[in-house]
Amino acid sequence: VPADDASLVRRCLRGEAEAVGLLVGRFQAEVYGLCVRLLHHRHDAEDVTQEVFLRVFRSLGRWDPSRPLRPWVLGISVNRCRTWLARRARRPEPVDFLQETVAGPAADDSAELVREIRRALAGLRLEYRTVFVLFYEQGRPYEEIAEALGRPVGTVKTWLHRARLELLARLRERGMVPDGEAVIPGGRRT
Amino acid sequence: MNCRACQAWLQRCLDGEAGGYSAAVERHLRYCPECIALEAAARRLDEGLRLLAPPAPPPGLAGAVAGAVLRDFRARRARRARRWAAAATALAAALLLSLGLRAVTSTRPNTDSPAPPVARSGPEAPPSAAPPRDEARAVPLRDAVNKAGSAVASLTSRTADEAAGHTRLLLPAVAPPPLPDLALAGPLEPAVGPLREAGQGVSAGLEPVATSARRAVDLFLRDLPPIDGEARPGL
Repeated sequence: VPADDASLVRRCLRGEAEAVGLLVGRFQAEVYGLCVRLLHHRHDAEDVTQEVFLRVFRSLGRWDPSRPLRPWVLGISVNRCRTWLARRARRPEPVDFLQETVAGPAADDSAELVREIRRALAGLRLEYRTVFVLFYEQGRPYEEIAEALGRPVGTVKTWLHRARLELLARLRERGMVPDGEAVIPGGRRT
Repeated sequence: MNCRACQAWLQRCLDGEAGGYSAAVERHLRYCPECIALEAAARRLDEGLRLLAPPAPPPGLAGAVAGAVLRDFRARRARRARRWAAAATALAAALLLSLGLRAVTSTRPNTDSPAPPVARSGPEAPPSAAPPRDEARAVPLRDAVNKAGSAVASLTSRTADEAAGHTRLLLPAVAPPPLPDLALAGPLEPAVGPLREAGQGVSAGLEPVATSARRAVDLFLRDLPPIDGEARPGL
C-alpha cells in the first residue's frame, strides 16, 4: 500500500533514505516530463529535475500537509524551469528536437506530425506551454494546474484555449492539415 | 450556429467535455471553410497528441537524484550541527570571559578615582571592609599629589615675591599725578529720591498708552456676540 504524502514527507524529514527514494520515484516521471517539455533539452531536464528535488527536500518542512503534494512539487518544477530558461537565454543552446521519438506505430506522416507539434509547443509562451503539457501529457485537472501555477482556474482555461488555437494555426501553416476537409460522423466528407 | 459557437464547441471537444457532433455543428461544418479547416486541424492535433508519449526519465535518474538529495540532506545536517556547536562554543567562551573579567575587576583597585578606598565602599559595606592592600597602594598616590601641590604653591609664591620686590624698587621713582580739586556744591543726595522721581516720570509717560489700550479692549468686548446663558460682560 503506497504511503500517503504526509507520512512519506514525515519520514523524509527524518532523513530516511527509503522514503527519499519513494518520494523521488513517485514524482520523477512527472517532473522530468515537464522539464523536458518546458526546456526542450533532455540533459538540461535531468539537471533541472535534480535541482527540483533538491529544492523540494530543502523546503519540505514548509509544505502544508493540508494541501496536496503534487501541485506543490509541480509548482516548484515550473519555477525552476523558468529560472533555468532565463539563465539559458543568456547563453543560447540548440534545442534537441532530434531526440524526440514517436511513441506509437509510425504511420504515414505521424513522425512529421509529432515533430510539428513539438515545434509548435516550443514556440508557445511558457505559461501556455506549461498548461498544455500539464493538461494533455500529464492529465492533470484544471484545479490542480491552477494550484501548481498559483493562478485562478479561469486563467488556466484561457491559457489552454489560446495554446490550442496557436497550435492549430501552426499545424495549418505547416501544411499538416489537408485543406477543405472536414470529417463529419456518418462518413460524410465536405 | 455561427463560427464563434462552433469554435467554442471545438474547444469543449478538446477539453473532453463536448458529447459529439450536434446537428447544428454538422450544419455549420458543411459550409464554413474556416471552421472546417479548424476542425480538421483539431483532429490532427488530437491524433498527434495520442502519439506524443510523455518523455520517460532515463533509468538511473531516480537513484542519482535520491543520492544527491541524501548527500545534500546529510551535508545540511552536518552544517547545522557545526553551526550549533560554534554557537555553543561562542556562548561558553563569552560566559567564561565575562566570569574572568568579573573576577579580575573585583580584585583590581580603582586607581582612576582620586577618592580613597573608603569612599568607594557602599553604605552596606563597612569602611573596615576595604582590603588593606588597597589602602597601601592608594597612599603613595596621595603623597605624590600632595607633593605636586606643594611644589606648585612654592613656585607661585616665589614668583610673586620676586615680582613684588621689583615693583617696590620702582615705586619711589614714579611721582603720583596730582588729583584735580573737585568743588562739591553740597552733600550728596541719597539715591532713593531720584529713583522715585524717575519711576513717577515713567508712569506719567505711560498713562496715555494704558488709557488707549483699555479703551480698545472695551470696544472689542462690546462687539463680541453674547454668550448663551450668560450676560454680556460689563464694559
